[in-house]
Amino acid sequence: MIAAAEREYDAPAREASAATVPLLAVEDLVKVYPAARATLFGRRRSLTAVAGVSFELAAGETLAVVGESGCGKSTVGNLVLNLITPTAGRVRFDGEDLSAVDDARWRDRRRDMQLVFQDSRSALDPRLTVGAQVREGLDIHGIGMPAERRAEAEAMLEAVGLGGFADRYPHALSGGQQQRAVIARALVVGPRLVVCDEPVAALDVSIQAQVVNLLSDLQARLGLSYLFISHDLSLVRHVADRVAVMYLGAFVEVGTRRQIFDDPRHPYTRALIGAVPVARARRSRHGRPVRLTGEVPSPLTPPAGCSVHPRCPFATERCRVERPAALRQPDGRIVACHHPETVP
Amino acid sequence: MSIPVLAIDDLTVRIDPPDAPPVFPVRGVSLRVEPGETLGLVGESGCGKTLTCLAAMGLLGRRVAIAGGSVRVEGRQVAPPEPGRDGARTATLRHRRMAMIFQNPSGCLNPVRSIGWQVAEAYQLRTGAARAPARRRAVELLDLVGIPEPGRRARDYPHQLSGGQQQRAMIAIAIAGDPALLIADEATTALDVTVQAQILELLRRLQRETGMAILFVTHDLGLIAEMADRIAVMYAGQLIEHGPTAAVLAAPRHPYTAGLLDALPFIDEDVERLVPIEGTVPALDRLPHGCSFAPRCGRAGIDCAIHVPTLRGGPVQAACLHPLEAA
Amino acid sequence: MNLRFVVVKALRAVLTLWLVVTFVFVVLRVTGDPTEQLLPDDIDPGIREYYRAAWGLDRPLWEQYLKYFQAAFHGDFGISFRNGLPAAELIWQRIPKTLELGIATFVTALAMGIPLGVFAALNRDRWLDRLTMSFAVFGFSMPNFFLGILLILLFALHLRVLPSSGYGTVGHLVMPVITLATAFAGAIARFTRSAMLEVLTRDYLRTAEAAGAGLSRRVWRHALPNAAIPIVTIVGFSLGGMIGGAVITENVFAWPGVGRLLTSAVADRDLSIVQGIVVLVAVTMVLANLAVDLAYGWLDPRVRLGARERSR
Repeated sequence: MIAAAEREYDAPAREASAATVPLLAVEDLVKVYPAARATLFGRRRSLTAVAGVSFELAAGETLAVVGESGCGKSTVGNLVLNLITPTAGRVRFDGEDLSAVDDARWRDRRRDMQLVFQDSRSALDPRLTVGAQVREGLDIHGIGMPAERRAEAEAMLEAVGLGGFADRYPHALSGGQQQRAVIARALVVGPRLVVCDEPVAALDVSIQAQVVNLLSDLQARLGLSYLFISHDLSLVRHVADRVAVMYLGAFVEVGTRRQIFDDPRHPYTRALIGAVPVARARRSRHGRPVRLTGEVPSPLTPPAGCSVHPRCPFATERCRVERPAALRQPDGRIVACHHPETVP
Repeated sequence: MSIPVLAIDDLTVRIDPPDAPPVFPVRGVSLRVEPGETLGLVGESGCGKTLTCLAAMGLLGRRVAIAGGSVRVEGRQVAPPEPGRDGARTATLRHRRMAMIFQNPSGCLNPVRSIGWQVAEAYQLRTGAARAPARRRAVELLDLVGIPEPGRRARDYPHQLSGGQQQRAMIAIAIAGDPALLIADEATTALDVTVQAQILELLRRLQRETGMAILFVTHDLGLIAEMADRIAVMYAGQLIEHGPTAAVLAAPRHPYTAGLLDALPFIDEDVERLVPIEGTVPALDRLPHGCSFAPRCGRAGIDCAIHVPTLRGGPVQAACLHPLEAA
Repeated sequence: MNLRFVVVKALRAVLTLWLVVTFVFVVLRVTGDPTEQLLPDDIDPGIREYYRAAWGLDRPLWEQYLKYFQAAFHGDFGISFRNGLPAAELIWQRIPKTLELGIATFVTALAMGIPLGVFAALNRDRWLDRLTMSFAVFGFSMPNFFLGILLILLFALHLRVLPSSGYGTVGHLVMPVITLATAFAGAIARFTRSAMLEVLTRDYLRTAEAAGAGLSRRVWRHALPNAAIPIVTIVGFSLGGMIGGAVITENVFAWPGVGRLLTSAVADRDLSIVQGIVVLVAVTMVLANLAVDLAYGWLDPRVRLGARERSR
């Protein structure tokens, strides 16, 4: 079952390369959009959606990017997949610098890097059966013999719990089933990296758990790497190996799941986690909750100094003037804050 | 015993699709909201929680109507209209004592009217005040809901405000004229968590200061835990569990509520594996016989396919023939 | 109002006007030498040269263009070839009469079309809606001249309550206005209906209802100001059709306006007058479009204030 994917995963060459270089390495990714003038003869402005983001992702690992709406987390996913062109920075996949490759090579690479996003209704073509849409990826990349592709697509649908749904149209599926179909379509070509952009945000709680479990089963079975973009911190705690907390286009804290959730250092991370309402508190919350004031400023007019300072209760004069560097801490995590240790 | 602000009894709502037989998305729901308390109404999308509120507010749209049951506001019946009572008077009673805020504040504010205009209008409609004092009161209300520089902001239009401030403006419209009950339907769902926390804090403060009751409608059990004194759980158009929030969340008696809690990831502890509720919510035109949840329920017996269970027991009541043990 | 918005729209209007005036010049030169069309074929070449010099046709093209443009800028379109009076003066005399007809039509059409559209939207899919919309379709499908003749037959010849043609009293105004306004009102009613149907489903109307706003308040104070934005567009566009309709209607009812002047000038090949009227119509259309743009800004704060920085 899922022959294409497993065949690829078993290849010894892949194992070897994964051990030496990270599957995905992103260096100083920047995306700036031009914006309209504010006044008739005003200065032409720009909107910095992503302001220098770097991270690595190992084979079989899940890195979650969390943040509030408009922080640039979805843009990071699209930049990694080259769905939008970065203003600056580099994306290396399996050691290969993708900023230098031509279109033909990119088409080839797309097979290794797939996207699953939130709106499954618009992700599926209403005029094609689910089976045809899953098979399409195999046709595009010329995977397997044409005669085998149908069986391959059905096997993939079976694997996501949609056995026997190949001849149905998207509108005949529930929201959860549509999202399973989207996952099947992404995974049928045997990718090694899947960017999951809010993959369960549109689903009800009981269905959400079904899809989350499916994603982790497939990861265990196929050795996938996930770049998991989400605003839902409880969910991220459940799926992520490492977590990057993003604010106004930059990572403010990157660490392992335990570091981020059990011992957050950056005031923004602590505020985010502290703001999540819990149905049943299993354990007392770490430290005093941090309350942020106000809302995220417009990326058109980002604050000087530390981007969090206008909302941060611990901000000092230094925070207002000097932008903190993202520094590696003794425990291996990265924090961009002037006073991570003095925060009560 | 005090008179409930809102008393819904055995409410059934009917939808008449243009070319299909009628469906009943709310069936036999009874709710009470006491003065000053917060009742949390929770359920997944399509469970009928919003329609229940709209029916209480008299805001059901085309082809949707109350098919049975009654709604009373502070002891006076507003639905079905009492024979001989003036319909306009009933409507007045309803909108003077109850207010509602919704999920998408940007769509709920009129884009061509200033914020101050809209708050003043609501105040005038509820109190019959004149224009000038209503304008002044609007600025005070905007200040009360935490909008900075309320005098200046009153002249702003909705598109000039951020999402959080738009929801604050909606709350100002809702609390203008001091209604006894505020219905908040997924009022923080569209907001970021840090802004959501601010809005929840605002609602709690307003409740302390004005003594209004809140009917807090959401799909998020975490929000219910933070906001509600009592919780009512809906599934496929029916109320299936009801009781004090802490008691229900600590030891739910209905398998659906228990299933929802198991399906939730936790932010403060690692869970090996989430336990989903298998299957999907039944479609309204294909409701199963007996208990609507039975086809997805691990505890269901043959009797569940025959009898429709009603709320039983206490203090936590569950509409289930085989409820989980009380704590 | 946002200065940038007004300046940009006004500059665009000026540019359009310049293009129109230039276009008229080009077309008139491309179609040949006016002296050949206006003077008898067997005329003495000397006399022809005299006229060519008098009308400036012997000058280089760019000089002609500059002179023409300068004159047009001052509202001077030359002398009527037929009766020797300045074309501008002849047109100018007629404008108040056409304006009178136009404004009366405009007001009548809005006063009929908008309430009918609102009424139809509120009774959506009921027979009242279908009846109203049948009238609207009937109104703008009916040819102008035909409706005009029907009205004359009924009111002037049969009932003898209104004068059949001419200008002077309010009675003279009734039939031309009805003729012109019917089609216009039909179009406005249809667009008002669809704009209202769209707006009536918006969440802010539910907000108003929840606060206790009654039906009439919701319609007139909340829905209509929003629906007005698309309605204004169609009103602006319809103005072109109304100008065409006015030419026909003025002839049917012998209304002494610009429309009748145009038909007689075309029949007489009175080039100066035709040219003046073409520019006048263009100016009207450009001004109408400018008015529509400015009305957007007036009606819609999102246009007026632009996507200004959100306050946080």
